[in-house]
Amino acid sequence: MNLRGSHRFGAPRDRVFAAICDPRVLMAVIPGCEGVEQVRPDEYEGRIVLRLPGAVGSYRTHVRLVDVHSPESSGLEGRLEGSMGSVVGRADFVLREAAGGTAMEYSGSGTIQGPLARLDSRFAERLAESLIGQGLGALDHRLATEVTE
Amino acid sequence: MASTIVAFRLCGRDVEVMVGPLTTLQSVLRNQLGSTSVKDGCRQGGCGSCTVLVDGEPMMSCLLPVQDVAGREVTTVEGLTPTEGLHPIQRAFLEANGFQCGYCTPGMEMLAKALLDHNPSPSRDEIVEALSGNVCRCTGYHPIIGAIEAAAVAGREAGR
Amino acid sequence: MTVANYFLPGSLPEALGLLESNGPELLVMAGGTIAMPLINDGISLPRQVMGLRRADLDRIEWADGELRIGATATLTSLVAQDSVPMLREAARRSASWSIRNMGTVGGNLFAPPPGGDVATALLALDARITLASPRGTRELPLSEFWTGFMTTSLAADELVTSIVVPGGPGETTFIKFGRKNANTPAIVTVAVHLVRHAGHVARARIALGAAGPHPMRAARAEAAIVGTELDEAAIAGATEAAATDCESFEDAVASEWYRRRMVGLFVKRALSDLARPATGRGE
Repeated sequence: MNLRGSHRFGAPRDRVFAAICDPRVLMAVIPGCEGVEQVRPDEYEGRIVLRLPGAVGSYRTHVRLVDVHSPESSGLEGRLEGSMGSVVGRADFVLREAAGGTAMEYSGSGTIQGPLARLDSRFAERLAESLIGQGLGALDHRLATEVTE
Repeated sequence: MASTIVAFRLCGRDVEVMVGPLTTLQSVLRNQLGSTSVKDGCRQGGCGSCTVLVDGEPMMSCLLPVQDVAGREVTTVEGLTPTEGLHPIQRAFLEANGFQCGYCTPGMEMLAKALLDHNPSPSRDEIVEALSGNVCRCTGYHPIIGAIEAAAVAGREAGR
Repeated sequence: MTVANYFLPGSLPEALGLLESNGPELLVMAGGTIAMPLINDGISLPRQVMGLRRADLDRIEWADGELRIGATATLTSLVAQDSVPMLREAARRSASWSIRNMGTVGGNLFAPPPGGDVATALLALDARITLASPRGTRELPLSEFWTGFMTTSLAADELVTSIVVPGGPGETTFIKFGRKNANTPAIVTVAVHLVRHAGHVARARIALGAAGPHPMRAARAEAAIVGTELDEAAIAGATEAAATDCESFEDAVASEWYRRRMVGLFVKRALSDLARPATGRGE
């Protein structure tokens, strides 16, 4: 599974970078996410419940930040495991200052195993892109409505 | 795992089965009640070889939890067959060469029964439309359609 | 099978209670035509399942100038009603007779890509849906229900209970194009609802199915025909807008390129059908 995409944020680059590198924030804006805790510096574990038509599953999530270059770029190594299978992969993103806020480009790849792997890979890609897109949109909204310290 | 008892009517007689959760009507009919006319083709609702009638309406038994038919009337081809001879639909399939391997035939015959009960004079297009959920790999469908047309004529002539 | 419990509630309050006590991992199904294939195939592995077939949510009634459709009303019952012809046509073109006897209108809203054909028609008809939870009920325009690819705004403790279609004047047409003429996934579905005053289009709704992650309105195509006499130039503008703007994709039945071309072709056909004099149409 390969993904790529982009997103525009209304907030300045350093705030966007800080939010993305805090998986607690990221996981809070992805639909279905329930509970995240830090287990090591730059490592977080949590749970997500994905409700798709005809298939509901809960997954343990594990995210590790790698190659962190604040406030420009970072990588996220992630693992999703549940009864319906697992997804293991890495995503990298780059942030650039742009008029009105921040422009993000991201790309990633993942391997799916278990029953989930029997679904068309085009489905998995479009679902992942849609969830990420919704999450980044929610993050943008959250940063816009947060009171700045 | 919680077992439960489900009571329904099968081909005119009362039956009761003990099943695990989400056991399908297809599984119950084939494995517990001896109705092996109900075939196990795809378990996706795509081939129609598991077609049975529930209160006279065709359904894919592979997608139907048996609990959902509690108290209902289920009909399979075993219930179509009279004590002697053949049902007019069965006779029509036989005389029109409406089957080769026979795997799709029970499903086709149950569809035909439901169709002719709803509409004793279907057009060819209506027959084709009604059969759109049932797959046949052998006959090319024309003999099946012909069989149903003949069964319709026979049914009308017999005043059914 | 992994299922530990299968619940079959007899009412909406019972269903909501089961949803609340079992949490978001309870798999909810109505007709079973989406969930059971995945469960039978071992792709979906739920432990708790709830079926809504006997929850008394399947009534269809025409009241106060609206068609109120219970969420678990079957597609067959939609074929049987004649208050809203486009819904009859959309249901008729869905799946096969046996599946229509099982599949529900509410379930059709959740049909995975290429999406539900009845859902597309409901979008063109400006339907509203009612969602119920232990916290109460809320109503939502159908256009706000889908949030992305296989995702909706349904909360974890909510159920769709009914779909309401407003009555009123309007001309409609519905075309579904697939690789076969029946029992086939859509390459594109076009559902149109038009209101004309003195030969000019006053209001237009063009809903496209299988042209994006969920049924969508072709807004720029609608704007291209409003105010016009639905002449060739107006239709050409709407055709180009619909094809350009749609979020075409590749799947097992069509490439992205071909699907986009078919969106244009069938929007053109649908609008041309409506542009013909009324006596020439079987509406």
